[in-house]
Amino acid sequence: MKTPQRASGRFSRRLLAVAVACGVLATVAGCGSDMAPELPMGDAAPPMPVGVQDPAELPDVTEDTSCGDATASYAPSSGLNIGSGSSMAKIKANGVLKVGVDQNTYLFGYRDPSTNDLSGFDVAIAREIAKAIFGDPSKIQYKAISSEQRVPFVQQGEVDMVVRTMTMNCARWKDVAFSSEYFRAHQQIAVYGAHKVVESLEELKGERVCAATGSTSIRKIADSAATPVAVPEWTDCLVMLQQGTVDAISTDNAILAGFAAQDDQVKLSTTSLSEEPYGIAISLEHRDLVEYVNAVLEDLRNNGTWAALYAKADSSGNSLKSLLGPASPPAAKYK
Amino acid sequence: MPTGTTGNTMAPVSSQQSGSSTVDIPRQRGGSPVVSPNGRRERLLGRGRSTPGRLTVLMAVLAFLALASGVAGVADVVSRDDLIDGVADGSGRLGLAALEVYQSLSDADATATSAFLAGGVESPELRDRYDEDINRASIQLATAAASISTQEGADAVARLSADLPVYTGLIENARTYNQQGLPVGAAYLREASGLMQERLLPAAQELQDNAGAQLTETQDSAATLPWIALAFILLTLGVLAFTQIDLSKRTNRTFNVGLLAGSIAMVLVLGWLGVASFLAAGHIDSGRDRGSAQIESLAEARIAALQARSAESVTLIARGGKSAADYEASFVQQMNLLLDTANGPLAKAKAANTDPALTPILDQALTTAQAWNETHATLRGDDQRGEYTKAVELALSTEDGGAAKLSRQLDDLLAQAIQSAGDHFRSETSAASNSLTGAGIGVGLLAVVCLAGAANGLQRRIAEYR
Repeated sequence: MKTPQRASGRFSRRLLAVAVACGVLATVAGCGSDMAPELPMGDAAPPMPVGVQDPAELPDVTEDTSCGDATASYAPSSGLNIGSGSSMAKIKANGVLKVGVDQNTYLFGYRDPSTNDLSGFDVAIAREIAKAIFGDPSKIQYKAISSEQRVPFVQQGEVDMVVRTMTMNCARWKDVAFSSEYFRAHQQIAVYGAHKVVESLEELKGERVCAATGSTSIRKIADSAATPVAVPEWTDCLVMLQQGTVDAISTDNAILAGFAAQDDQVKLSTTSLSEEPYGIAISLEHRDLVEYVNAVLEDLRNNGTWAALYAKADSSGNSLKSLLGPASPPAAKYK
Repeated sequence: MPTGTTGNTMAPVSSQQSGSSTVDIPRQRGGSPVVSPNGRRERLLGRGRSTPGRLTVLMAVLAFLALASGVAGVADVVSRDDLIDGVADGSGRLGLAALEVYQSLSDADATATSAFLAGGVESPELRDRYDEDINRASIQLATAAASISTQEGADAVARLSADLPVYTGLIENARTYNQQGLPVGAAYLREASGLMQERLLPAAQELQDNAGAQLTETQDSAATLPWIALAFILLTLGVLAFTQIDLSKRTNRTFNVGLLAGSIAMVLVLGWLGVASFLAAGHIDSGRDRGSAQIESLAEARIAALQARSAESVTLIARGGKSAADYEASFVQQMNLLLDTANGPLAKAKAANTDPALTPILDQALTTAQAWNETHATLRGDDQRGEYTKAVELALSTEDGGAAKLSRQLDDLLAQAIQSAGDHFRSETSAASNSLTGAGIGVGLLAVVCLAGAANGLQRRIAEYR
């Protein structure tokens, strides 16, 4: 009865059962096929300063000449006398002069990285004013502000004055008052390395040109054929120029000279695109303070202090005089 | 009941009646033709109707089930062991690597900015710390790249790998200019810190989220019950029981030694597999709740602290202006996260904590964060009043109450807590792996014993009919 055929048949069936069982289980146990993720293809976006506007957002501002000569300020009527109840008397009572300054613009208002002290021409002017009021140049509370914060800080009374490479113009005269002109800058153009030195913005057609947000320079760039790129701080422009993310910087020679002093590859134009008279911004409500500051500035012009500050070298041996050439203080104009 | 002699005497009787066994009659449904056109089906049915045929089918079923139980059991142990290895080496290592990347980058940024704040040439201590951070971030990034398996994770790794050298380049530029006393260095540092905050840290966060999800998923898989194996085992036990009851009815013998041995072996398989996977799941769960989940909360707290520290420094380096206000807002945001006693990461870690040794560390971390917040308010006040140098001194002070000391203290405390949670995670994961030791071989062998027992037991009965 037990034939080899039956035995082998039974065996093969058993084998089949085992094979099926193994097949089922193998599927159950190890079906996790790992799909390797696709290789990512990133695009290399160059690093940019925080807060860069590319292209720059511009307020609609038309050229404003309604005030006549924007450099004309209020004549000092009572010299350096501080009358009771005057703005200066209040500042004196506060014990400290609140000044809005730049802490990032080389040779005008900056922290010397080696000492962490505030230095520069603007800071020195502010110290002279504090010295006149208090007899002590260190009685200052500095507030580091950006270009676009200058007007609102004066208007809101956050500071008594702003000494920060600020161009006097009619549009700004509507919001703040200015002292007499204490420095005359010129808007120029800086390019980098092998780039051809250019003398006008029209030569930079379609190229990217950097200036600070809220500055007069950015408007001039926007009015030309160049593409404006706005940054929060002036030094951000130098970073972008060095990194090749902008082709040029156009702003005041006072600022550009500071860049050239930090990097030999920064090449400056020689033509002045516009005159940039710097004034100290003070609240329109504090005319007495404007007059007082003008009296201080008169002294600085006349007693040689201005010339000394202009020629004062920093820890690296750079001075405004060595970078911009000899200059005399701009003459004061009064309304 | 007939006597318990060997089955040989009964064999011819059964053999003759094989075609019309009483038990088989109810199974034969009315309309079903005895001779079907499907030969194979007919053979199976015919075989099933006769007692030896029926026993042969039962033996085949038992053989299949015992084998299936064994294979499923062994497969479960092997795959669970793999998953636990995955928790320890694969996604666990990935999760820890991702956290390390995130923490190292945050620390690098905090260190670079505070070194910069000091002015001049930075201290060798801070330089070393920064170098170590970048070194660790790069190595852990390579580790993460090797074990990430999601598309988002791979993209995050790619972005990190692309941006990290750019960041270090900017830092070196900042350092060089700073050492020369040129203010453009601060602009480079701001740009580097911006790159860190806007591109690197978000990518690190995404990588960490991804790696964390991958780890949780592996932990969940490793802690599941072995359903398939259990189903096969229970089915096997059921069929074994049925066969034995069936046999004892037919043969007047209560026990079949082979089947009994097979049943015992299968019960042992059930016990071993059940206990081993239950223990493993317990360790895995504990490793997650008190280990990796805890590490995530603590790391979140540590990263918040580091980012707050770097925001504090950059606020001073940005030196006023609009960007300084933004950085200050970032400090406030991170500090609020730390001090949030309801939903903050420190609160979460404390709520989940069961380790009494960790409680004082977490409490101290919270009070340190509070003290630091107060110091920060003081130094912001100094800076607002124009006392920049004083503010910087307080920010860099390693004296009691100095921001540098407090932030470092907080970082050390959190690092210590992370270390302890990490130890717990590793020991629980390894305990989970240990609880499976020998289970694979044991379950496999016992299943074979079951198979052999059942086959042997039934073979004897079948042979009686020949």
